[in-house]
Amino acid sequence: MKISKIIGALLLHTTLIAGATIALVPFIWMVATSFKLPSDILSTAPTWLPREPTFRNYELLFSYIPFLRQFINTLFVTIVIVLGQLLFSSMGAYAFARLRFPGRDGLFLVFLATLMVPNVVTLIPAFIVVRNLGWVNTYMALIGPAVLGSAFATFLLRQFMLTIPAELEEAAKIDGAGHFTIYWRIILPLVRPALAVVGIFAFVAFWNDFLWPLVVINSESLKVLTVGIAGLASGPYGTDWGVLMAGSTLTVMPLIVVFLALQRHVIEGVAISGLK
Amino acid sequence: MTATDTTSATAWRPSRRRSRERLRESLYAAVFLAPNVLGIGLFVVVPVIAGLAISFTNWDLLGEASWIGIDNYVALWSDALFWTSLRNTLFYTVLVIPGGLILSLLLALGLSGKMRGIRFYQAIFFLPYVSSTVAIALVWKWIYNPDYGVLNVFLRGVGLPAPNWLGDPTLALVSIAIVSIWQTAGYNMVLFVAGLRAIPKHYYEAARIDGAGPITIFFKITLPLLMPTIFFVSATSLIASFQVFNLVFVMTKGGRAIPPASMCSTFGRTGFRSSKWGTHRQWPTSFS
Amino acid sequence: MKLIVSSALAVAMTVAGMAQVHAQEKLVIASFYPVDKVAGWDGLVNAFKAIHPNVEIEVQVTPFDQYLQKLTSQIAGGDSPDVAAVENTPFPQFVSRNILQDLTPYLENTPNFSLSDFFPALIDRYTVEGKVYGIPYDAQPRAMLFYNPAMLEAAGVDAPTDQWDWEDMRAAALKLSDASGSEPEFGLCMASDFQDSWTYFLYGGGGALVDDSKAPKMSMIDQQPAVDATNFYLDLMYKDKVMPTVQSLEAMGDPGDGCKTLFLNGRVAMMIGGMWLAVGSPEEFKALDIKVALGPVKDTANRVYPTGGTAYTILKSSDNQDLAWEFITQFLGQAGYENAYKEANLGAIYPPAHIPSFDWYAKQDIEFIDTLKPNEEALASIRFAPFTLNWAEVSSKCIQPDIDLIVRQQAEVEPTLAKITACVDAELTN
Repeated sequence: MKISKIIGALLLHTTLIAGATIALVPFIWMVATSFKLPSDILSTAPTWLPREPTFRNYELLFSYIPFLRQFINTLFVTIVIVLGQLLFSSMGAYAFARLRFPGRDGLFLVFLATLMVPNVVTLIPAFIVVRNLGWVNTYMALIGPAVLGSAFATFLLRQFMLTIPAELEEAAKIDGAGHFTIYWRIILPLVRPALAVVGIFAFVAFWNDFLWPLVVINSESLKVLTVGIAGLASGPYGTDWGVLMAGSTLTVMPLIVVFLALQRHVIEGVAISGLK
Repeated sequence: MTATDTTSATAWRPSRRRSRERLRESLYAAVFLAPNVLGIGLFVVVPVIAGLAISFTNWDLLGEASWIGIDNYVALWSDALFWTSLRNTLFYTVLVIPGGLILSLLLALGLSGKMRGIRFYQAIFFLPYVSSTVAIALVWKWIYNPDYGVLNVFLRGVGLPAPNWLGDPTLALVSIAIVSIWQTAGYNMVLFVAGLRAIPKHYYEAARIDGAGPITIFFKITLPLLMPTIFFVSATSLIASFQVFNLVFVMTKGGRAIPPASMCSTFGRTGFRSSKWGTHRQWPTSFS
Repeated sequence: MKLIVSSALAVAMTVAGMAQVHAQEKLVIASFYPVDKVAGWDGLVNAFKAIHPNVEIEVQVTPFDQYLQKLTSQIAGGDSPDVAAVENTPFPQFVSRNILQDLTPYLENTPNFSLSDFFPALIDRYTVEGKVYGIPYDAQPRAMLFYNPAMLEAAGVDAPTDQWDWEDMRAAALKLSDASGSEPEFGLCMASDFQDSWTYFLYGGGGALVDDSKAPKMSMIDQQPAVDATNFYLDLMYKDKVMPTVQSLEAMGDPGDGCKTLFLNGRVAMMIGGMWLAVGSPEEFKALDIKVALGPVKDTANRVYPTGGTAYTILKSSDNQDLAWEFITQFLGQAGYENAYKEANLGAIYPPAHIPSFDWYAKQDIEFIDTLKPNEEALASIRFAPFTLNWAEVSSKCIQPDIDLIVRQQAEVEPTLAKITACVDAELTN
């Protein structure tokens, strides 16, 4: 009985460690490569660890692009967008999940339909809209189109809200609470884990967004990291992998921090709120 | 919005107080939805409609546009590449969604208990989701290398055939789907862990008292109660697989034998360098 | 619904067609050369500002792979730059869409900036029906055989000469290849993707993509020289095994980078490519004392090398065309190259298309200066991509997929080349 339990745990851990290794390999490779000399990086028999660790790639990275500036741009733009999406999409989701109004289902279908349209289709017309608003090459061009919420976030949050039993707000309604109060004081705290899930998703998505910032931003000082780093990855010169991986390593770190910060919210938050 | 919903309209029979209540609720809805409708309308819906309109012209982004009716669609219909990429997108979707669901659910089941180091494992499995796609693609290209890649060295070692993972057109889709599943498994796992934690313990206790085995409990309790999460994960994967582009582009950039795995990457391959944008632009639109 | 469609389209169309409103004294320049190494932009912009203190200059540098997409998006959105780099391949389309300003009148009014100062083969590419639409910036034919003298000496192989033909190259490569060690050594590799590599052999073997690259009417890909050249390329990889296969280079990330890496790590003795390889890694080339010869062809009396290249153009939509022209004359004349040289890493700039600048540059003290001579010689025998509206598309639709199969030995050479020819012919008659 006890032995079978030990064997079970051993088996579980072995599988998990094997899986974790596969998950870690590209990450380790990325970090290791960022400390390698060019002569060390690409060979048909790749070595995992740098033979002579070097900061050359990081030094070059900082000299090639205004990294700090672009890092701050990315952070600022992403945080504003994520906060905006969480607020406005949760409001939209509340309307879809809790309010009755004519055209609700039709409008929701339109939201759903937009999810299936690839970004490349809307790229040029959206660029024209942004240009007409005079936003080209400003932070507004990056923030404006996304900050008012996304169909995806609204959709996810609506699904979460539908699972919240109506009784919870009935009491508040009897006490004369309005919809804003119910939304802000009752529903939002209950969907906190969902907000964390959507927040992580949006953070990763906008942190890594490439095509749109590429088209709407021209100045080096307003570029975001993905675009700045892409310049290192492509060119008639060929690719300097070390510098590229140094940039990628620094780019990924904030995403890991965000995940670790929200991990508890996502996982324990659901348990606490005790949703069905 | 022009959309109206007759069912919900008839469902509310008019009575004076109710109709005032209804009006109030609609006004609230308008306020709550205003930011969303404005943002999505201006930056997604209008562009989609414009994109649709452009697909009836011969605009190549550079010259003048003139109406050519459905010519683009006729050309598309007879373009073998379009059908190939449509087929590939569907095939890829069929691979990625169930594969991704099963893997991430298994991971979540393994990582939802009270074991030590759970959060550590979760964080590690989440890493691929945030790692640089370029780094991921490169490492997997090495893993898949037909001659000295880890995978084939292993397969040869145990006496199995060693296929050309990225060189063979059909297999390439499977290979890319594997990478994609692996990359998103960590994120979906987090969703499933959250879903599993939310299932009240007493359901399980009650089932156990009734003498249900672990398999019965899984299918009768866990799975039904996880349905909302399964729905999410499927929806996200579906959307992502229709938009898969980066991974395909980076993984197959050097080796172009692979038929475009998705419409987006077809667009990427031809559109980025091509002149006849008009012909390619409306592929995704016509599809959605 | 109809109303929405038509008004949305109206928005898109009018805005797209609208002339762009720029601040009076602002010049926007779009380029794709990375600023990181060729830092000449700063010197150039500052020099221009010294003459025109009131002009604001915005240089938009976009990664090479996304440049065309960004530029076309800007043009479609009515936010075009004043001066734009246009590569030779999309150039015909830009001309036919009436986007580029005819520069001939400007040239006539600028006596100290003369067309005769540029390499004729380059001017030719950017001249349509007697009108010049672009001033060439560079052209770097894929025409160089780089070699590692130490490896050649160790194997007892004489240094390559400009008179080498394919058989000389093959014989040397056979001596230089050694598959016995744990890391095989190769005699030769191509620093390009498979399609560009194939084109090198196609041209070098006397073949051609089309009958007339200035006005293509039919494909020549099924002709005997093309078949022989393709087989020669395949034999080097699969029969003689003197060249790493396309697959193994691709596994290193990118075939071109893979070849260059092997070469710079002393695992490949000779590498075929263009001058940009030396420009991009001056330190590494210096460390190995890399030397260069003219790329071998099948018959040295009949040299043809594929080339890329870029010209700078003025967009018709620009409000500051005179200023834009002045900028171009500074940028692409000797002053511009001198400014770029001063700022560049180890003096590494692209070989000027402007002959006096080229001659001036060849006298500078830089490590890889011996690459300039073969580059100049090759300029007499270059061939650009066929001049059609949609060559990039024809190429990616008809040529790329099947050549891919051929170089992987997954399709037979002759029938597949015939299939490609039929496809290209159909596209050309369209």
